[in-house]
Amino acid sequence: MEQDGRIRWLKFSSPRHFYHLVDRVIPWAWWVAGIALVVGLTIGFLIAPADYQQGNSYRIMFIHVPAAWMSMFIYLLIAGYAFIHLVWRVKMADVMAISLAPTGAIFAFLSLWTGALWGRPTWGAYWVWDARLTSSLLLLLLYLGYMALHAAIPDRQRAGRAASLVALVGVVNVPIIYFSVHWWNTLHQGASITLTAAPTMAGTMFAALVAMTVACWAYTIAVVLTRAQAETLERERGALWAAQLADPPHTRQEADKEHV
Amino acid sequence: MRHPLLALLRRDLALFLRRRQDLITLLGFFLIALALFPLGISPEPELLRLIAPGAVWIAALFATVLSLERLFTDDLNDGTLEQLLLCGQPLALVVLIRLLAHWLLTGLPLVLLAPLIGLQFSLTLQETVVLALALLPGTLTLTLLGGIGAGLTAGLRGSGGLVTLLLLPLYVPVLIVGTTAIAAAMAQGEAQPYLLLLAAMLAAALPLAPWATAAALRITLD
Amino acid sequence: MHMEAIMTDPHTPFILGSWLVAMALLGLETILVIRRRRQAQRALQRARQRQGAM
Repeated sequence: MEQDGRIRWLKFSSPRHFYHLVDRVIPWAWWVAGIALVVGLTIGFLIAPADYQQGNSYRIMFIHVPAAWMSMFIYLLIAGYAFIHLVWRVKMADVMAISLAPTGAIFAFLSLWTGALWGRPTWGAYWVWDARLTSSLLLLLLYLGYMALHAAIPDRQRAGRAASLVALVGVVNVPIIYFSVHWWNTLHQGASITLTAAPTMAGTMFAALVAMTVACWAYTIAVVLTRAQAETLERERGALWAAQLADPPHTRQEADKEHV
Repeated sequence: MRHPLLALLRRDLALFLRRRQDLITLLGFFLIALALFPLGISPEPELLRLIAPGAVWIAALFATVLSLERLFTDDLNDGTLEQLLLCGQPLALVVLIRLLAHWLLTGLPLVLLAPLIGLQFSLTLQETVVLALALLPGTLTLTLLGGIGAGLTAGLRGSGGLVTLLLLPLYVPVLIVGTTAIAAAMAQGEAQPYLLLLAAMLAAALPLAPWATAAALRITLD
Repeated sequence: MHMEAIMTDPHTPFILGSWLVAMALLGLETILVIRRRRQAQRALQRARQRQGAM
């Protein structure tokens, strides 16, 4: 049994098996994302009551908080894949890392955007130089740097390894940046805004938040794996298995059997 | 044992000195950038003192990024870099030597300009000393971190903007601690903890950054 | 939220502004990604046909 598991993991790192395995996962992820989104929107807008302090503006939280979480998790995932890519030279790790990056950047941007629109009615300002806001902005810049470097180097292999190194350097720096910004903010803090005072949450609000988090995870899985498929096809243009994908379905199956 | 690395240091210094024009331009950039702050904001001494710490560090930060452009490019183009890779010395040490030589000619002059900056922004003698003491480890850390960016983008066309984008998030901690040290001295506070924090950052960057830069160069030369 | 409450709530522009932009961006990303995969598949198809013709 253990050996089976090991073989499957190895299979996953080959572009061809990756493509076919992922093909089966993607539709499920889309369905989960869609259903969770409908559930989250229904609970969040129709069932959850207005907050006694913030009125209705707190409903921004249901997209803001999952977006902020996703932007951080995705950066960690990229760093993990970058490590695998640099140490074990697994090609597919780079495909996964670069496929994750645009989605992570979008979530980082969304956490800033929705945060600004939430901040205006709540604190009276779109932007304050709070530690969390500042480090979110820097996280977005780290994403942009990673993607810019990957795009700037013409040779794909070199681009992947250079960008992986940048992702790792970035992830080492994230805690240093976070603590220094936090520390800077507590020194400079003149405004009376505290973000950490969490209000107690009604059960329905919590349910909506969970549903939206599930939706964001499933969305990320679906969209990132689809992008990884496209990336794989573009990279494996010359490979026989990729060429056979283009054949009409009946001949494809026969060809598959021949080459197993 | 030490001899080859010393020879390397001498070579790097000689090569950097040969491009005297670049070094003068860099110092000119630093001074002009600092002169623009009073011109752009206000000649009011009190206000200038308020912005001085940030202005000095931001100018130093951009001067460092600017200076990095030719750190490895020439050696990459004429094949010296590949020779250095094969020369038997650990590449991280070779890189460290290169970065130290670079800092001696680009970072150290910024530190030595501290009295002039003090005059420009009407700092007291004691504040100027703190400024110099903060710039000393700070600029070296900036150069060491900058090596990573320079190594990754060596040989790329129009890499200036890219290096800036890659490096500025990494420079934020140095900027924050550096400005706080000077601000603390101005508020009659204790600057020593911040100077020690800067030294700690240097101590972390000293072994890690050349190692990462060496990895970056290996990727570039691949 | 009832319809009248939505129309009169001063926070509505902020709520709509965040949700609509978020949904639009993620929707746009979805469309672009699916189109990119289809283009990659088409490029392969064309290459295969050319191979077959040779």
